[in-house]
Amino acid sequence: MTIYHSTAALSADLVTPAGTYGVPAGAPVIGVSRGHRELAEADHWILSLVPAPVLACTHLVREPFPHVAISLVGAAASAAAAASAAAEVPTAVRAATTAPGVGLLGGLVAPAGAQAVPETRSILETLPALETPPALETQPTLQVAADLAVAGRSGRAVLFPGVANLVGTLSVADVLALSAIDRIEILGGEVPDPAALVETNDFVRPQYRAGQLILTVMPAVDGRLVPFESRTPTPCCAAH
Amino acid sequence: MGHGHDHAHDDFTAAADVPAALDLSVPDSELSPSDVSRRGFLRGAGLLGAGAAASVFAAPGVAEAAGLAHTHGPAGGGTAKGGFQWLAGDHHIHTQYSSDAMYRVLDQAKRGHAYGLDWLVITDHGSNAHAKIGVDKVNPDILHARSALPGLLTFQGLEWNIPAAEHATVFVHPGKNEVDVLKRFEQTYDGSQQPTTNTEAQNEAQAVAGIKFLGEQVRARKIEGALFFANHPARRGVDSPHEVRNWRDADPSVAVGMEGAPGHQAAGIKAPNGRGGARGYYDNNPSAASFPGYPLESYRTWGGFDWMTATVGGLWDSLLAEGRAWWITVNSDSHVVYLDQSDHAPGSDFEANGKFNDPVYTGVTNTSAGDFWPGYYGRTNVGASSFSYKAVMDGLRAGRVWVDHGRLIKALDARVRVAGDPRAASGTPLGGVLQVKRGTSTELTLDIDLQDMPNWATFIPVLKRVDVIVGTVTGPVADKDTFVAPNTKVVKSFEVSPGSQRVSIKYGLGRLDKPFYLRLRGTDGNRSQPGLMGAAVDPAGPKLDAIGDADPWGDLWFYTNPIWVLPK
Repeated sequence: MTIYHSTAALSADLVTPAGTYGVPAGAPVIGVSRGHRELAEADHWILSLVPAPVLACTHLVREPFPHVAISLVGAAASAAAAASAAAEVPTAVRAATTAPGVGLLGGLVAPAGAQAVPETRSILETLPALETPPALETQPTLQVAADLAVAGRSGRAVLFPGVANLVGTLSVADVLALSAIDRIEILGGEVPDPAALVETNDFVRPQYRAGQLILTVMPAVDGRLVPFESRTPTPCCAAH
Repeated sequence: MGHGHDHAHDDFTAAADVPAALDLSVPDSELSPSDVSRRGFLRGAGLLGAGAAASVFAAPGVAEAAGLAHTHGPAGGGTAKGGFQWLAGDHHIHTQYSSDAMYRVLDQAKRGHAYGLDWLVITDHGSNAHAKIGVDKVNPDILHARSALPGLLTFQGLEWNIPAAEHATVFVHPGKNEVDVLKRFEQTYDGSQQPTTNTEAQNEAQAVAGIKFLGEQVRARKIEGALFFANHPARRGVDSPHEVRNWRDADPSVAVGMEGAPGHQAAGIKAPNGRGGARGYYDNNPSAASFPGYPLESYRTWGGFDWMTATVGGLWDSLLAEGRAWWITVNSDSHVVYLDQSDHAPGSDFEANGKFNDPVYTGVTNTSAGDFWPGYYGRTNVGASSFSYKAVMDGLRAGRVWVDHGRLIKALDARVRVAGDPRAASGTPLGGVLQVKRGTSTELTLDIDLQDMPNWATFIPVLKRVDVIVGTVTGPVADKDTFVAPNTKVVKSFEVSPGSQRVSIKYGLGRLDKPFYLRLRGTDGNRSQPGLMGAAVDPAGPKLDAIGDADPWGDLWFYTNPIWVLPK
């Protein structure tokens, strides 16, 4: 069991407002900027954290230059210390955080079999706050970005309760039942049928909007849906 | 606001050092003989008069008549009438001088010509290798194509990595300095040549400077013309609305438009017979470099078209509603062609040679490529006064342009005129400005020759519906990042009777009260959904293209450029 530190020093605005992140009020948010230019780089860094945070979001910021800042909830101090080492073995880390049947919180608080969202949330309610661990610190020049990430209300979630369950092909209803995703929207305005199938491609990046975690999907082959964001978007060109 | 205006006077006629020949307030009779000659040259190069202004309100008095703030400069929009020949073309084509493409110039030019194009532009990517080697080496190949294919106008251009933004076609009129100008442009202004320490603002400024440079080369008589079109503008969300406006304002005789639809139209063909990707390769998502205001809808194609153009009341309309002349095109962006049976030659060293070796026949059918040959699917139809390089550039600059996919229609002639004009073929053509007294009734006359020839997919397309889109012209926007036009909507739709050979429509536009513009759109009717601004704005607009299942031949549209009607 990971030991969490008391965080009396954390200011009030560094904790989640009720509902904003799909986790209970009071959970601390850590802002981080490593100056990642691309989402994929930020995702990779997030997925290298051991144990994984409960919630990790990317935030597109323009200060001090356009890049990707990160907010973390439930990131352990020990996790941060292990982060740099873990970065070299992302496959193992990825397996730990996405293996079906292994709940996201397995590596954090590890109650055996904890997977279902209601349980996840009840566990979170018991989490004490934590300090920003040293390895999650941000260079002073990028602190503005880290602060923007904490203040962000439009994070793109890389890790969130239930993400490990979102693999393969799932119905719209299942996606909602198995994860913290609050709503699925089809690009262009059509209303999703709860029975419609979503090809997750094991890559699901919902976004917060007005406190709700929303997965935007779009029509694909044979009437199925795919998440709006693709794991492998076409690069702008190979020439530069 | 009368003459106490607060808007910027940054077009070239208002510059402090403006030569007399450029100052249209000085009549020809007061110019020195050399300046008269110079003005004639500039007029001939399309740098004065038609199409050369950022705004249709540029001519003195036009804006005041419309009750709007005015801008200075020459009159915008084409005003020529009748007698155009419509030349089909493609301004976005790659060859073995691009690191992600493979064909010879002649491969592309021959195919384009065989598939019905009259003109095309070779646009290899700006890059270190291209700036140092390719831009020179491609020229003899282009000269060869010109002599081998005299019925095709083959321009040399490049695909500019716009600093801080997307790609753009840049091309020039053929001439002894065409390579020199393109090379200096690329080496100084290509995104690949900018210091990585540049800020976003510095890069945006460099983009504006690059467009100005091209215009200066024309005015210095190095070249007879240069044009810029923003390519796949909404693909990655990095062409912000203010950048688009700034490019146009940088030199309205150069920066004249954008791709209404991207190339790569085969990329959505269903697997295993096709790539099974996103039509146009539009499968990106917002990045740190993207304009934060763009919705997710902007990153996908709609009926094969870019969101900026496909959205009635969207970004393009917001420019037209300003009176800002900005035109659309469609192109192939041909790199590697769907179902082709050739591949890169082995042993190529692109970085050292600036090119790949000539492609080799393999006998293996490439089902994963996303492109069509030039002319095979999309075409940009330009109303030209003659078959010449200059006439094509003039027609593009004037916005006398309509575009289609899959040869949806055969020919189109749209004009706006004073209602009841008894003369045949009268009226203001696409891209033009009709000025009438307030209260005068005007009408659209539209003649479409429906398709009677099979397209390159071996079927004869059937036009089902034509939409008339009208927007009130409200003048310059206060916020340069505006991308909505709340007063633009589909005002009328015409169903086309099955079996028709021709559509001839007269549509009354009412008595002129407020200045407005009109543009047209047509479809095979196969796929539609209410527009993004709501069914009241666009009841049956283009449908979002599905990922991995977007048959380009089953979803065909045409779009025209606008015609403005202003009070005088």
